[in-house]
Amino acid sequence: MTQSGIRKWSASRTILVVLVASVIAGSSVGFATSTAAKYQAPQTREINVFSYTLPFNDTLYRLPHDVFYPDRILVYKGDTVVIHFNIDNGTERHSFTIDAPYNVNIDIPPQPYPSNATFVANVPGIFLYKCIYHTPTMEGYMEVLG
Amino acid sequence: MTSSNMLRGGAILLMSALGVLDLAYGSLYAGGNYENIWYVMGAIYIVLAGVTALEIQPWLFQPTILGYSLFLFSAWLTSGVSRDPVAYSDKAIEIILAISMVQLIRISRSPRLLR
Repeated sequence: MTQSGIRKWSASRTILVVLVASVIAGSSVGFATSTAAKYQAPQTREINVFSYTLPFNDTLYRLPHDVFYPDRILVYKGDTVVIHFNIDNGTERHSFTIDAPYNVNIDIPPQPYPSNATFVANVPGIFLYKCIYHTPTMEGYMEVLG
Repeated sequence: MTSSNMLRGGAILLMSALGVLDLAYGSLYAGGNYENIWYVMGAIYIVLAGVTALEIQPWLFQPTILGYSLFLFSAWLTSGVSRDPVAYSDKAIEIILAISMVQLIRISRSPRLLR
């Protein structure tokens, strides 16, 4: 297209071409910026989970007095999650269990040693983690942000 | 004063206002996030105001200004950033500028003037 050709475009043709081109280009840049701002590169998140005992009489209340610390875990979709499950009381059997779709189950016999579980948080949502021997008190939630 | 000159004067004022507003927004409100982009946008508006005032190649720069204002407005609208009264005012002026430029292009390119 020559310079004189563009110069002789009608007003409506010029406006239409400029309008379409600039709105398409601007929207593309806007959406790209928006997507880039929200994007979180997947990373490995190492989380230490402990058990501790609340000071109440579990026989009287008929509830286990063991709980998780922390009871909230926050990760992004795509992150590799490494759970270090640390127990040092040595008297009780525990587990760190997340049901489907993650199907994580660390079963820890009553002796003091740490255990690990590694999985990729590829499904967004809120998922319960629990000790199958001490529900409903020994529970927490893992939130996977999508 | 012809309607073309009035529109041109109005567009120069709007572009100058946008330039100052963008530069001020970059230094006062953007808060380290995208502030350089606001500086660049403001500087370009001021240059375009100067080009319009000097009537340099209006056949080229009038559509360029229209495209630039629509580009920035579309990018702001779809990016979801900078939603505050200053940015809203800035974008309202941008739309008025775009309408002014449409009118100016229509007057400049009317068959009566294209001989």
